[in-house]
Formats: sequence, structure tokens, C-alpha cells
Amino acid sequence: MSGARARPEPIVGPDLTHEEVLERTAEQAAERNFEDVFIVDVDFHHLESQAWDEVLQHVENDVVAHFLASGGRGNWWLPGATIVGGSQEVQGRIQPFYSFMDGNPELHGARRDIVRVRQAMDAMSCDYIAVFPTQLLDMGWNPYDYLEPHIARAWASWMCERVLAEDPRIITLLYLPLGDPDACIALIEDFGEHPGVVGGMVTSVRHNPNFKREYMRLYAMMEERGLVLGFHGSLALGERGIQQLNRFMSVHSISFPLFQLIQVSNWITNGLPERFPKLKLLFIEGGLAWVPFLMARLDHEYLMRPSEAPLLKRLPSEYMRDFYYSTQPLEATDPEMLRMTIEKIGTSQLLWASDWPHWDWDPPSKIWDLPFLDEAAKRAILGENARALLGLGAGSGPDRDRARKAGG
Amino acid sequence: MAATRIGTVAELDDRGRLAATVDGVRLTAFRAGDAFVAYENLCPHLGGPVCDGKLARRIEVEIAANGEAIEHFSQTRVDLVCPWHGFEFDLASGVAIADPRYALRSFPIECRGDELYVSV
Repeated sequence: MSGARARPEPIVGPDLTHEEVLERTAEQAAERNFEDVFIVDVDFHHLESQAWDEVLQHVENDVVAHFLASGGRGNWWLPGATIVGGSQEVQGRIQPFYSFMDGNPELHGARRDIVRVRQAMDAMSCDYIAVFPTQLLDMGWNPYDYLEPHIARAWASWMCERVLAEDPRIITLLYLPLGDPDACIALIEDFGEHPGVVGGMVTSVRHNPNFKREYMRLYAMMEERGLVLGFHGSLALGERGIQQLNRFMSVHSISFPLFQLIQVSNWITNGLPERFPKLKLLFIEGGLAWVPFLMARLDHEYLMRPSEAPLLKRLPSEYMRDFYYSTQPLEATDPEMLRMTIEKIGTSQLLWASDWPHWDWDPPSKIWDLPFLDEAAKRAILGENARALLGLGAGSGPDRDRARKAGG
Repeated sequence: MAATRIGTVAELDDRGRLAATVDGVRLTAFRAGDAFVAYENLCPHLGGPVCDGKLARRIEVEIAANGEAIEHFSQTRVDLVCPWHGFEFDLASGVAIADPRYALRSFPIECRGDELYVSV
């Protein structure tokens, strides 16, 4: 007797193409005349797994290159990686990621990434777009820690040569291998001034406290060069506390802001805003709801224990109002709560991000349609704040047209 | 409000849904059990193409005698899922299963013989 069961397919319907999923986004952009709005997406993800063979060509050490290439026999392989597919899209119900992953199969590597990035940024009417890796976001606590600096360097080299050089609208913050401070410094020295590199990015989910003295030279170097230091969240599936959560929804709700809370708390209580007052910090993909919570919490504690944070000259919340935050995923279900959150942070500190092609992405219309912001604030969040923070030159109109033409 | 012919039942059944533009409104007709429904192809969340999304059997839960929550796919309830962000709408009513404040704009639809008519 067979135990196999015949089941009707529980989820049916079309698998949309990347272009089809984006079609309405382009319509929204046209309806809102985004052609006349300077728009910068500060968080977009390519799939390094689909360009892995190209990235591995940029690994400098022969043994590491062979180890990584042989493990996957030409395909994506990263030992110890914790990010797994499937659940993010709610078993196929949400379609941007799969449409992106399956898009333009006739192309490969950087060329495929560039085409898909352009599809998205054209649909959203973006002038610039900051591209980050996906699977590497969890590299910060990969047990094969010796690989991190090699991979970070290879990704930076591949990104600069194969992607940034091909389209001036694409920018990035370099993946910083924080497990090896010297490698971070070398990365900034060698790639920090490459066109399109606007900063360095710490994968927030890691166990390398940011106040350790071995990072001070890195911060000083980035401050001196005017590079932004970004902190990008992730799922933290390997964290003991997070492992108590049994659904993607609960894991995602907590893990992304959790590690931003840790990064900000360490940065402020150890007085790093006073030591590096000109270093610009950008917190990416944690949403915004956690920010007023931590402002209230740190202020409350600091007033009673100022001797534990002797470098501080202001309230923690005041330093936090100097930081920058990407808006996605914008928790907008309660408009009054969101209005208060934005008011506490300040519209000058917010940068719109799509997080395309991930499941909880935000279109630029989500900012533009907020009823409690005036047009100047909307323009600031959608692009003008990023223009100032990241030193982006081209604007809307003729400048944008030139950038687009240069991009092909 | 005149009814507009959008196609046949056979066309709808072949494709699983039937899309049409009536008086400038992009809508889609579905079969919901024994009835037909028609909704504007515009998600009330962020404007996504909700009617281009998947149809998913609702997941229901039974609490067993030992306290275990056992999930299974419904035999009767089907939800329309917006492909942009996964908002799930009861196919029969158009109301979001997570929050009834979100609902699809629906239109009267009738079957005349083998032909479907929608009033916008």
C-alpha cells in the first residue's frame, strides 16, 4: 500500500514576469510625474548567487578561489550560509523576487544584473540606485569566517569593474568584512574612491561590537573621505533568541530592527558620535518604528546612568536625530503612528528605499502619497536627502537624461 | 449603468479568470464557487495588480484534543493574493482576510447564457 497522496494544487495562477510585476510601478510614476522628481533608491538587491562564477574570478587567493568554485562545481555555493529560499515569498504568493530571479535568463552575471536593475529603476523612475548583495548579508556570522575578507574583496572588485563601470546610475556601499578590521581598511583604500562607491556597509547581524578599538582607524578613514557608513539588517536565523520564533513573519519583524538597536546602542553609549562627529551613519532595512522606541529607551536610561557614557554631551535621541535611516519597510498601517515616528526622526534624515525585489518592498509612491507630508518633505525623502548625503551629482531633467544615456 | 459584455464563461474557465477594461476601469472576473465575481484590478494597499495574482486555498486551523494546532487547506474558501505584497482577499467577498478595512472594489456581474456582463 502506498503512502503517497494525490493533492490538488493549493495555489494556482500566473507566474508574472519581472516586467509584468513592475508595470504598475511605471504607471504610478507617470501618474505622479516622477520624471520631475529626483529619486534615489538606497537599498536594492542583486542576486550574487547568479553571478557567482564571475565574482569568484575576482578572488585573489588561489586556494580560496578553488575552494569556493569546486564546492559549487560552477554554481552558487557558500559553506555555512544560513539564508534559505522559499519562505520569503510566502510559498509563491508574493512575486517580485521569483520574477527577478527568473528574469532575463538569456543573460548572465553582471550583464543580467544590470538589465534587471535598469528595468526596476526605470519603472520606479529612479535617478540612482544603491545595489547590495543578498546572500552575503549573513556572511557576518558565517562560521567560515576566514572567507569573509576574501569574498568581500572579490565582490567589491566585481561590482566596481563589471557593474558600476557599466552604468553611472548604479552606486553601492562596499560590503565591509568587519571580522577583519585590516581587510576593511584595505578595501576602503583600494576601492573607496571608485566611481559609484559612496560608502561602506556593515551587515548589522553579526557579533563584532562596533565600539572595539580595532575599528577606530576604519571609522576615521571613512570620516576623512566623506564615505557613509551603512548598517544593513538581515534575518539573524542563527541567533539563539531568534531561533525561538517559528514563522518568517515573527523572525523578520524582530531580527531586522533588533540588530539595528544593538548597533545604535553600542555606537552611542560608547561615545562614537563624539569621536567621529562627521562620519555619516545610515541604517538600512529596519523600517522606522524601532527608532522612536530606542530614542525613548536610551534617553530614559542615560539620565540615570550618565557615568556609563561619559563621552556623551547630548541626549542619545539627539545623536539619533543626526543619523540617517532608509524608510523601507515603512510601517504605515497606522498613519498617526507613522506621522509621529517621522516627526521624531525628522524628514531631513530619511531616505527612501525600495528593497526590490524583496517581498516587503516599497514603491516610491508610498512616500509620495503620504497625506501628512508636504511636497518638499516628499522630495527630500525620495531623493534630495540622498543627493546631499551621498554626494550625487546628476539631478532630474537634463542631468538625469545624460546619466540615463550614459547608462545605455 | 449599462451592463457590458466582457466574454464567455468558457473563456473564464479556460484561463481561470477573465480580464477586461470597462469604461476605463481595469477589472477581472473570477468564478467563486457557483457564483461569478468581478473586481477592479487595483490593490487597496499600494495599488498593485491584485487580480493578476495567485488564487490560494485558505489555510484553516483545527485545535486537536491534545492542544495541537493542525493546519490544512480549506476545501471551500479561496483567496486572491496581490502579487506585490501578498495581501489576501476572500475571493467571494473581496474583503482582506487580515483586516476588513481593506476591500477590493467590486462590480455587479451576471451570466446571460454563456456570456458574462459587468456593470461599472
